[in-house]
Amino acid sequence: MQSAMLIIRYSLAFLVLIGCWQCGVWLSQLVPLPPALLGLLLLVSALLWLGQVPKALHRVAQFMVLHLLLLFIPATMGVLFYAEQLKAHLWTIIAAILISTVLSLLITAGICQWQQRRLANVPGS
Amino acid sequence: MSLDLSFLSPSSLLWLGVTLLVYFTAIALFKRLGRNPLFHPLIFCLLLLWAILELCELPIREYQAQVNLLHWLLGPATVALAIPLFGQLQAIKKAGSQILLPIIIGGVLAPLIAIGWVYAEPLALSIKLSLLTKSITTPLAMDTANYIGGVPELAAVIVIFTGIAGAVMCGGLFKLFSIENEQAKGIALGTVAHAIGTAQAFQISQKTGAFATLALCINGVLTAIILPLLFLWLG
Repeated sequence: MQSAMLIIRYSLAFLVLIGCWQCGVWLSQLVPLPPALLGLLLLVSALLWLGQVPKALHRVAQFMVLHLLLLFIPATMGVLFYAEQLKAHLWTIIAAILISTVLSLLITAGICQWQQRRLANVPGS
Repeated sequence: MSLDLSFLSPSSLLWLGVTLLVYFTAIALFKRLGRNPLFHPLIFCLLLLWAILELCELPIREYQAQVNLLHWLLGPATVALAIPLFGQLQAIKKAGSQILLPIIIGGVLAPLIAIGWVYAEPLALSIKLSLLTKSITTPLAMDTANYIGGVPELAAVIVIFTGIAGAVMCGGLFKLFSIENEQAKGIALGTVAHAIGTAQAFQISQKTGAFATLALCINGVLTAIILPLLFLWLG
């Protein structure tokens, strides 16, 4: 009996996620933002209004986020369609990624560390 | 993105099973190798599946159609990121809004530098645009790249490569430039190298990991909101 209730709760939580996403798909015709993002923002607003995350929703969401990687395997296989086009410029793209990653890591960490030091030096804080 | 019930056919179930098997093997292997970011499970998944498809002479498009269910689930799973984001909003209340400054700067700089680097190259515009979502979490990156005219599958691969690069290089970089503050390390890793950087941050310490999670959530949502609006504004 109890496990039946659990299954119903988890199914409802899953339906909430699908419902928010579908609302996002619909909303994206009116608001210039990607559909899944709109669904996410809708759900965050609802949670802020509720003030807490229902337990079943928390469980289901956690499980889905944990296995997100599985869900984008089929899509990423599609990168092989671009293999020819990418081959010629592979090193440029790799360099762009490496350089932007190194610089932004250092700048972000630098700013944050500077903020922290400044905070630490303010007396009484 | 509609779901038909064709995923219940035997061949679909077979390919779903194969994908699950490959996925769990990749995860197990990753754990065995000490969670080294260089051996990210997605790399293994792509290589193994590619080999299997070649062996079975199944075209990738056909495979994608067979496992349509997984792609469809990406929608609700992206929405599920609302739950960690909600948790992080509470954390920002505690930490103060000044914590947002480095996240915003890092979140803007990373894609700008990348696109600046390839700006003059004779690359297809859709490929250049796919670089813009390099620092945000994969599902949001694919959604956003698709929206602004990039290539979602390429965006996903670029995101993963960025994450691996950030996670592998952060140790040496932080030492070289004497970044010792744990909050700074966490914020930088979460902002620039999303989930892979965040996993690496948890290896440094719990505190570093917590800040990385916060930065990952904030930058992901901010970038996904700002990029499409920017494109709308630029026409």
